Formats: sequence, structure tokens, C-alpha cells
Amino acid sequence: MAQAIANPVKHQLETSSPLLEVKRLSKQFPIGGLFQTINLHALQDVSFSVHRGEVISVVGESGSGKSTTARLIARLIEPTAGQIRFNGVDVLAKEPRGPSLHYRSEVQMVFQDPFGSLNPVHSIGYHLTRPLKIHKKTHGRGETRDAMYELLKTVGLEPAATYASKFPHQLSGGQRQRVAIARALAPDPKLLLADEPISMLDVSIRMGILNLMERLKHERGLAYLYITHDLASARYIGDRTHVMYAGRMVEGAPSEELVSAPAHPYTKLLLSAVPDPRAQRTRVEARGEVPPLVEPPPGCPFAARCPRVMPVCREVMPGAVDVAIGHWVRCHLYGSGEVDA
Amino acid sequence: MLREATPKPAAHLRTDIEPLLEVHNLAVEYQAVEGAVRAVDGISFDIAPGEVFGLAGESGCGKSTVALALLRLLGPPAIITSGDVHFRDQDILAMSDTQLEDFRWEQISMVFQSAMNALNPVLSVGDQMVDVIRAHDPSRSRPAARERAKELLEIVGIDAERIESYPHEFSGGMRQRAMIAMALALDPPMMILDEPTTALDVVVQKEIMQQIEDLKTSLGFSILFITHDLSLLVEFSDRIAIMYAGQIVELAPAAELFANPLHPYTKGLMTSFPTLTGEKIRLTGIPGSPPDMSCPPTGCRFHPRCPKFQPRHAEIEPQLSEVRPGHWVACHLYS
Repeated sequence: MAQAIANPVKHQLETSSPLLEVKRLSKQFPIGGLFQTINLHALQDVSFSVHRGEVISVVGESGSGKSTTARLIARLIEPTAGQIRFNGVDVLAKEPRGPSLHYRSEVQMVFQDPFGSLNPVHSIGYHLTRPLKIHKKTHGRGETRDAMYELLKTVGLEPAATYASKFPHQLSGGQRQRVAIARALAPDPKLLLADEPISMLDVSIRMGILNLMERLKHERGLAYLYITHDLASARYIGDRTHVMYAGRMVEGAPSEELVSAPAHPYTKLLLSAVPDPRAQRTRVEARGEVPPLVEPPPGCPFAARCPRVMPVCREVMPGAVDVAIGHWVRCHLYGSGEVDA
Repeated sequence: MLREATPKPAAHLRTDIEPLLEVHNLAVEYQAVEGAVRAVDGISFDIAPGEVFGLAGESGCGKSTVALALLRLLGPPAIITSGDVHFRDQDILAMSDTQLEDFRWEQISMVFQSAMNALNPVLSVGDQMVDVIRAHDPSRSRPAARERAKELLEIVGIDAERIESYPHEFSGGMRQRAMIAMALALDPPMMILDEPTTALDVVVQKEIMQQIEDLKTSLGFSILFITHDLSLLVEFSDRIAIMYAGQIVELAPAAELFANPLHPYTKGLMTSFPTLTGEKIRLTGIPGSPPDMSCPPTGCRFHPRCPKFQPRHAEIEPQLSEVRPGHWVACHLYS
């Protein structure tokens, strides 16, 4: 009954140009202060890329900056520093005043709360025809309605005509999330940013949504940025997994490799904390919690909790170092690296 | 259409240990204008001293209602319509309000869902703990209660001087620990934990669970551990009961349940959790969604989602029966 997934690991050889390239992205939020502005450093110096048809899982706990990363790429907020390149084009330079309609049709987002992201006074059909019209994907009522039915079928909500006339409160959480995905598919995007899309759903229906996302990837060549705090689902759906801590991206590797050969001490801590009935039970000694993001001290943010901390860790943030093909880490244990990763 | 809670055979009969808590045929209804919703429909189980008993299920299965019923915390429109709940030799359902006041927190205490958000933001954590201690043990003076509060904070791994701190000065994990400390205030023989780690990050979750386990070992209390996270339960429970649509559909020792899940729902739940280790296989979860309890499916309530469905499953309700030693399941495939 259970089938092994064919080709679970695809090593990305950097020969094809990436769909999305994020370079040294940073975001600070000013949060008041008497004589000078105090800043919350939500994101610092984050760099990674996403290729066509690739799923990148971004894993981190709350306050790690993972949602901020998605919002920056969706251009719901603008970065304090850094570059976003989409299809080779420097998006922030080309569209300095905000995302163009074209960009918004290429990069779409699905949010965590399946109820919060749908408008309770509009029908499901309306939620889907609206983006079709805004992005001028269809012409005329008939074509729009047919395209809307197609979208519903694509996400498994059939009979489409029945679902089209329903309202959000009439659907279950899983069904609402399918509508959110269908809405994101309407403009035919290349990249879908999924911010914790299943964490608010009942356990037994989560896999259905993840499997849908995977099917869409195969059928449409969709790329995903899958943001989650759950390492296990990150491994399940992600080709690559990146780990974030306190606003920094600290490790990136093919998902299987990250889970079987983690390099960063924080990644190891995360892995040991996930409940896994099959694994040998280990105790977690975590000593402390995530450092404040307000005016953070220099050096690696994990220094205060790291079991292998060295003096240099509290002074300088390490750059990225390759520990294996396609596997990089930002940790002094492996070298201080070039800051430009 | 209301049906009488059908008496189920006692899944709890253990002739070797005298149970701490015995629940027999408990049924709870929410009376709404449109009709009654039977959230808990005739469940039976027992908990031994020092045991961790896990109750797993998804939203709407009735598990939180069970917890509230045990402490008689349900108010209208919820009413306990039938059943027997005994704690040692005391009949909980027959207790008066005064008796309940003595009983609660001293015999059974509870850490509620999102308890860490239940702290009053304008009072220090210490003041709130003193409040709890003195409410249930008026004989203790304020200074004595403060000493006890400091002791409790240390027990859960928080510096005693933090007694002056306000809730917003605590992290999520610390607030949850403060709630656990409050639940331990009167040294109860049993604690109910309702989704104690759901809102917490995975590392904090593991720390809290370790803390709870250490405390259980040193203080010897039993735990009724309610959560939707089956992996967590398998790691920490002695026995686990799976609830679906107001009924217990499977009950077994944790290791046995994990190794040999019998009920199709349990099997389905297990294919809902991707793992970190082992071969990566396609997981499917369970099609459909948990039923509307105002109108549950006839016969076996899981039948609309069951891969092994046969027509008669929709007509007759399966009964809990012991299929392997200590392993009970309510499913036509095994009767």
C-alpha cells in the first residue's frame, strides 16, 4: 500500500539559472525609542535561490524570520537591504514603487489561516473569478466561469458548480485551504509561497493538502517556498531545506541530507526535539531561549545556547561554508567563510 | 435523532491494579436550539496511579469535553446525560458544589488548552499563584502561600525570584511552565493536560514534556494527556485511547498501538505524520473530514471515510472488544 517515492532527492547542479534569487536580504522594523529609533532585526543577510519546479522548505521556530522572508518575496513588505532577482531581473530596481501586476501574477502566496484568508461575504466562485479578471486571464463571463470550474477541479473540489456557489463558512478547514490554493493558481504563477499552509488543519487532512501541492508541482512545474516549523513535513515535500534561527539562515541542504547529516548545532537541536516514536529517545538540553531580535548583539545568534560555542562566535557572524555538494552552513565550527554566500 | 448511549463492555477491567480514576459509559450532550449534540457518547476507561493515559483525536471528537466533564467544569448548554465517574471511592458526578471545591485541584488539577494565555496580564505571576493556592487551601497564610509558589516555580525550572514578574515578561514556554506549577500547587495525585504544548515551538515542547516526565517520576502523579499529536503520545504515554466522533475506537498500550494499529482510523492517523527517519513513503492521510456531530453517520461513525467499508458497517454500531491482550478496538473487521 505504501509506495516509496521515486527519485526523492534531486541534487541541484547550479547550471540552470534560478527562478528566484534572494541576496543578502534584510528587514528591520522600527519599534519606537526615545532619542534614536530602536530596530527589530527580523531578517539579516539571508541568501538562497529557488529553481523552476523546485520545492524549498524553510524551517524555523517562531521569530526566526521565515514568514518575513515570504512576505518580502511576495513584496507585501519592502526590504531594508538586499536584492530579489526573479527570472534574472532585479525586481526591486525595476519596480521600486511596489510589485507590478505581472510580478503578482508570477509570485503568489497561500497563508496559514484557512478561514482568515477568505472573505466570508463572498462565494467561493467569486474568490476565484476575481483574480482571473484582475490578471486578465480570461475574456468574457463564460470563459471566466469555465476557468473557475477548472481551478476547483484541479484542487479536488468537485462537483465544481456546487462548490462555486458555497460560502467559506460552509466548507471545512481543508476545503478552504484548497480554495486558497486554487485562488493562488488563478493567475498561473511560477512560484507559490506557502506560509504554514497545513498547521491549522486537522491532522488527518494535512497530507491531502501536501500531496495536492506536490501534484501541482509535477503537473505545472510550479516552484514552492514551503515555510513551516515542522521538520518532518519539510523533509516530505521539500527538495531542499533551509534552517532559520533568529532572523538568520544558518544551513541549507537537500532535505534528506539535512535530516541525516545535519551540520549546524541548532539543526541538530531541532532534529532531536521532534517527536519520533521510531527513533532512539534522547534528552534535549537547550539552555535558554531565542535571543531578542531588538538590537541584537554581534556574532552568531545561537552563541548563547550553543553547546559548542567558541569565543569568535560571540564576535563575528560566520559566512557560508560548503560541507558537501549543495550543503552549506554558517557556523565557525566549519570555518568562517565568505560573508557573500 | 437521539439514541440511548449504548453500554459498552468495560475496557478498563484490570484485576491487578486498583485504578485511580474509573470512567464508565460517560455521555455528554450540548443542548442547542436545533437539537442536542452528543459530543461524548458512552466512553469508558480507567487510569492507574502513576500512569500516563493518552487521549488522541482530532477537532470535534470530544476529548476536551471529557476532560471538562471529569472536573465537572461543564456548564449549560453542556450536560452530562449518563455515566459513572469514580475517583478512588468518590463519585464525582454526585458531588455537591462544596465537595467539588475540595476535590478540584487537590485530587485532580488541569492545565487547559492555551493555558499560557489565561494568565492575567495585570497581576504578577506570583500573585496569581498565591491566589490559586489560597483559593483551594484557605488555611495557608499569604507568606506561606508565597513560599509554596516560589518552591513550585523552582520545581518547574524557573528562578524563584521571577515570582515578581508579569506574564508578558515570561516567554511562551515559561508561561506554560508556570501553569504546570499552578496545577501542582496542592500536590494532586492526578493531572489533566489538554494540548499542553500545541502553541509552543518544537524545542520548547520537548523541554516541557521532559520536565513533565521528570516531575511525574519524582512526584508520582498520573496524567490524562489529551492531544491530536499521536507521535507525542506514543513517546510519552503508557496507554492510549483513540477517540473519533465522541467514541473510543481503539485503546491499547502505547508501544502495542504503534506497532499494531487495528482500527482503520488509527492506521489512517499514522499515515498522517511524516517522519524524519526511515524510508520516505507516500502518505495519504484520510479522505473526507471529521463528521458533523449534530448528525453523525449511522452505524460505525467512521464508515464514510473508511477504505474497508461494507454496507452493513453503516447499519450496526461496532462494540469495543479485546482483540489482543490489553488491546481493544471497536470495528466490524475484528468482530
